[in-house]
Amino acid sequence: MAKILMKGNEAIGEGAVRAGCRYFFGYPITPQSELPHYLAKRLPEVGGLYLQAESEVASINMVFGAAGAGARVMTSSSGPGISLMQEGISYLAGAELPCVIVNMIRGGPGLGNIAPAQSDYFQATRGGGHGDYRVLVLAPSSVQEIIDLMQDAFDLADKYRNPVMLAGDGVLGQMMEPVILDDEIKPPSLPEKSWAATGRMGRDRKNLINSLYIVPENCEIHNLELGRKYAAMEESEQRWEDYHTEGAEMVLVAFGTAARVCKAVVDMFREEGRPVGLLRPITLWPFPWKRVSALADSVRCFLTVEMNMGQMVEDIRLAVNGKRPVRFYGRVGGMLPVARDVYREALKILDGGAD
Amino acid sequence: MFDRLKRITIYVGNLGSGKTEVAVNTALGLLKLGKETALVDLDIINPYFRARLVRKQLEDMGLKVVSPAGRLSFADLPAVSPAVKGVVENVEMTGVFDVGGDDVGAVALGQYRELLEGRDFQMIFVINTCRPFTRDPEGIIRYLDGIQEASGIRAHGLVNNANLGGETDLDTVLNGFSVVSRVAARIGLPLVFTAVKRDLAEEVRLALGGEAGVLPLDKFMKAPWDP
Repeated sequence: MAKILMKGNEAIGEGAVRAGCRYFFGYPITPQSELPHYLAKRLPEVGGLYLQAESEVASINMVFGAAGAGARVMTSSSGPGISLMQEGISYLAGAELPCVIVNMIRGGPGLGNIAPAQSDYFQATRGGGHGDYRVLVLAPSSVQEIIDLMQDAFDLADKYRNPVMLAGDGVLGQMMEPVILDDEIKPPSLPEKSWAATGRMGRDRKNLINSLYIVPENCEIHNLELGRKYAAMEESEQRWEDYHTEGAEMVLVAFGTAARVCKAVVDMFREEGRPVGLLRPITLWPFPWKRVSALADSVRCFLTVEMNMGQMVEDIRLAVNGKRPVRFYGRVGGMLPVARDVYREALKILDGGAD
Repeated sequence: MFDRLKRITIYVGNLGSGKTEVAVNTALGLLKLGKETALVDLDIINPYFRARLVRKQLEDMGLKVVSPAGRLSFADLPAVSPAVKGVVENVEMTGVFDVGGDDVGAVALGQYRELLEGRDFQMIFVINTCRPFTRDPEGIIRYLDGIQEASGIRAHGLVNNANLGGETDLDTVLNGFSVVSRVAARIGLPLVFTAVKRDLAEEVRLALGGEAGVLPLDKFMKAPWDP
């Protein structure tokens, strides 16, 4: 075991290597460029391949090819680049191909800026591209958690044969924190992929990787099968962290960088003996509505804190289902919520009545 | 410790080696000695956690901060300030340069090579042995070579900045000192000083003995949730 100091973007790369990912196709964009930079050095060391494509559209289609051949493969980008990839992501979901897509979200819309944001929540959790599909979305909030979640990201992608997205932001990508790494890198153990297009190998049928279902009846069956898969993900994969939610009068809900700020806010309240807690969704889709719904029976109100104009708040309201007031506080355009401001907002609601 | 420095000190190192914290703290130390001091932000690599973000705070403390101004300060463009030349040429001015990470960052420094020739300057390589690619002498020397090649300037000394952020302890710093000392011996450069967070500085000073320079660091590049 070694303890080293890593940037979030580097940890994504190292976590991927340790999870058995040997292929990366991408195109540079701030604030995630340290990740391709890291993998350009690291992948050749483990016999892998790093390739800078000519565009994000090319990158995601290279991912399609490698995933179709059964490889563990990853791409990464930020806002505008992820938008360019949407067609390919829809094709990957349609062809039921596992892969990991990293979005280190920046200020938008449009070209926006290179500062941290969470404004791609809708895009990430609603599918993003065309057609009825979902992407499983993981949202780490520390560098160590990035390392740990990368293994899960690849495992979940293979388990469900579906793209998995890791959603972070510039702060998470750029900040440095100590992480614990095993000295040894285990050789990747991949589940058997009997569907992969690796040659016929004596089988009686060809493996075809495709998302074309030209007969409507067949396409309906395909959609219903995908729907059952997404229902299974909703049932089994909701993840969250409770931080002092026991006996809480108010629960803050925040993910990623905003959750780090909210932990500081909860600490401020707890120091004064006020029962305020934090629920941190780790999966953004499936959204942890089970936990939110349970909390709605005991808390007085919710305050969601996001780095956008109010996106996750819609999922919280669906989960709370009118039982309690759900308030929203956000900073946008690359600005970060400040602990003192969130504290004041929460206090106003607590003392002034949530309704 | 500051008597070991020339009029112009240029810090280079790999991405995340802690150059910015070392540069800011060096500049403030020189300022306290009564020297007119400029901090030159030549970081064209990392748009987050760079010196220009605390520009106002540093200027209020009396430091001259040279970095791309206005809208450009938020960009990921390879822009540097024309005022850099003034700092090099003004012999009354002490300058501390913070160069962006890796060989890619050192390219920005290369354009000043001729201007620096014959002047009272030194280029110092900052090393954090807890970072992924600079944990052993081989990795460190590979990085140093890359930076020297990209900038066209030879390094004059090394700084031990071994740290694990908030989890740094005495062992972290001493292990780093031992690795950097081995590099120093192998390539024939001095280990100029060890940089360490202020609350550990005295302990490190005692452990290393009187001869070793120690620069206590106050943290300027903070996470949004840091107190």
